[in-house]
Amino acid sequence: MKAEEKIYKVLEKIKSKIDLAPTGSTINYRAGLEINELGTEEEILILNKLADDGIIEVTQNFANEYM
Amino acid sequence: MRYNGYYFKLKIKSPQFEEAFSRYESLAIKNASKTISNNKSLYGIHPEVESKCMGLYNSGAHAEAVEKSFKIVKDKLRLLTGYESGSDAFGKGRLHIKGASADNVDLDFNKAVKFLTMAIDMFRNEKSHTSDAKIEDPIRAYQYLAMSSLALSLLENSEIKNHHQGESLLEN
Repeated sequence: MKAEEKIYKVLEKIKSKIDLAPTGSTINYRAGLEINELGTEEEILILNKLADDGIIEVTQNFANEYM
Repeated sequence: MRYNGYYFKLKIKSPQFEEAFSRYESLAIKNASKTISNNKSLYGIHPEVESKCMGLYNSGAHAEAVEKSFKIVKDKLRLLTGYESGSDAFGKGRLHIKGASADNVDLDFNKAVKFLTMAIDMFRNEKSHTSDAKIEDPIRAYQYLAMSSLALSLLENSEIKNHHQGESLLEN
């Protein structure tokens, strides 16, 4: 799978979430658990790239969701 | 790399997100159209429901998949508030869902989510009385999974209100 396809898979997953979420709300993304054929590390890298490119804004980032 | 944790809370930036989505969509189609959307059928399903229920759903165990999705919602409510029923979570548990379209309809929005979780409680109770839950149609089962997914997605953007924030209005 090429890099563009992997990025698209992450974008597609984010889009499916924002379509459901209330307008302007923060959505949760669990890298490695989103069922899109990508590994955790790959997804984290892609999300970092999307944040660096100004496509998304990461408001919080945790190593564990139960805090 | 700025972010190392696997759990992200994020917001999209418009219109950059839409532009990037269209750009990567066309690139991905050009590169390998067959891999783009082989899980279109899972569109909109919450990842937790997807990971725990889609195996059952795909194997034809529709009733079990639906019931499990209802239990995931109850688990989430218990995790957030200590109560597993919608009415208790929003009442005694003082759960508040953020993200209403405007401040003056925040109460309506929260009531809607409260009644959605209460509906899930009632559906779970009703369906647990028979072995097949009368769910033979995969489309109907998928619609129930979508309902659970909606509840879970809304619960993700929540908080526990303290005594001074007017939460008692939610209790009725």
